[in-house]
Amino acid sequence: MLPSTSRQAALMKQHQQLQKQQEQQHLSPMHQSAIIPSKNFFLFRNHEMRETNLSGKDNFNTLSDEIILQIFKWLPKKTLLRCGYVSQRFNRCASDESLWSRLDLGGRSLKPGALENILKRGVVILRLAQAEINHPIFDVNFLENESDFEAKLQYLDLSMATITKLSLKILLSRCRQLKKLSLEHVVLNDDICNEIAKNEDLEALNLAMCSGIEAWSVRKMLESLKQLSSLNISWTNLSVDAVTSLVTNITPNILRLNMAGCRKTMFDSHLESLHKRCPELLELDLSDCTGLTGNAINIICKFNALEYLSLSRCYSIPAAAYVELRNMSTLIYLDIFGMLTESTLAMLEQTFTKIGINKFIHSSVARPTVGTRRTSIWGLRTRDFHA
Amino acid sequence: MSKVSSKKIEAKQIDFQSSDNEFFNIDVQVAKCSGRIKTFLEDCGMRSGDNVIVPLPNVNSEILRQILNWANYHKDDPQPNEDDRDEEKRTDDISLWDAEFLKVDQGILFHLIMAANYRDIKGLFDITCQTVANMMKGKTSAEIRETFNIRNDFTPAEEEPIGRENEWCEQQ
Repeated sequence: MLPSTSRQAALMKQHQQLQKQQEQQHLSPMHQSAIIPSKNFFLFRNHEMRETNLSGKDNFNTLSDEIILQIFKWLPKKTLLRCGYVSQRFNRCASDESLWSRLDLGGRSLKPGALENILKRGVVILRLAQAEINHPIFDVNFLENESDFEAKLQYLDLSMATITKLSLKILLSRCRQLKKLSLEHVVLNDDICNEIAKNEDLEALNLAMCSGIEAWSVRKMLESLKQLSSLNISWTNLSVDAVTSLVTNITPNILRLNMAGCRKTMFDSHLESLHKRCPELLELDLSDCTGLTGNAINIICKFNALEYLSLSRCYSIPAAAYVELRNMSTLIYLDIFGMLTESTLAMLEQTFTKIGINKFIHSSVARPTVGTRRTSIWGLRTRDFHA
Repeated sequence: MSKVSSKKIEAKQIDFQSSDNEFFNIDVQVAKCSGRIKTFLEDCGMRSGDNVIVPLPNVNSEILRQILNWANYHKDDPQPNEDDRDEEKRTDDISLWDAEFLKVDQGILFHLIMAANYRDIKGLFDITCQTVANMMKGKTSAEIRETFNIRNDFTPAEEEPIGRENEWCEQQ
């Protein structure tokens, strides 16, 4: 082991000479009883010294790739990208898949082709909420030469992202392992929904406020997404046919469902079909489904596991009908915003001692981020270790 | 490791022999910060009165003294939990004492990384790696090369496509 500074080199030389002398005098090696620095020993505690490498030696040459990866894992992505330019070896290490499993580019403007390079690094958890994704996302050569390329993405948040329908279709055509997907407020079409349907492991799907969802797409997606446990398809202007498709094709494994905003397109008969298919639902949001009547309450009472229910602004349900809900032993929360006067509400609260009324303004079903927390999606960290 | 084998360690002190033949007599408790030495001691089942000398042929006395200094300070730290993942750790989690301890020459820092890795001293390995990472943060590639004396071995023709592949966002 060579010392790396001239001062130390001098000391080390001195030390070696001392040892030589000792050997010549047939002395046993120095035997120390405690960890007390010997008279020849200095600790070099100097920040500037560490910053400027006086030895002229590239210390990284002494480390294995595995150790370099252990150092790189503490770097923010921006520095990691810069490491790619440093040297061939740094480039290879900085591109290692283990360093790129999580990435947050929320709110950023992505250059054409950027997503191709991001996906090639093997990103698994990707936040692109409110990002602007410029066309094209893949290079023509890439599409031709890498026709089998499949992204490793499992968690993808594209909420409120700006992306063309064609780009989104091409992106999703390379995704087959998605577990959770959010496309909130994104423009869709049948082709895109067809690609979503091919991710058969999908557990959570957030399509809130998307446009372009037709009855055909609903059937296509729900026929194949058997693992789906959370679906948010609220405020998507579903037609009566689309609602019918939904309640007749949705997997019985579904636990949380938000179909708020089916104004005049969701009826009591739909709710009856939904109950037949998914009697085990835990969470159901039917806010603003103004086609539901007082009879809907009787159907809801048959869901034997329901913990959360929202019927806010379902104006065709008479206030008196709610009283029936007090017999639901599993119900914990009931949201009925905009339905009752303050005094009626107070009376209801007294009757429903075990049920919290009007506790949630926004639904969390399948949503990647809730409240002010923005560094994780579906509870999975996306940001770097920061300093 | 089973509890049975750890009971065998009754000796309180052991000797380390560095590559340059310096001897360090230390508490077993301090020595056990190294996963590898802990296993070694448990495997050889030493008893009190045994005069155990552990040769460390790839650690010189200077580095060994540093490591022992660190281990001595941290000997009463709780054992790192197996389930403790790096999930929530941050690079500013380095304690003041450790930060002061790591203000050493770059060569020594890298030797500490290698020794901590080889001897399986997790706590020391993490903070030394984080310290090197902190030396790179916020720097340009040229500054990183300069800090660590790294040679740019790209040809201009190779450099150009990397630039294209790595620029993702409009305003980085």
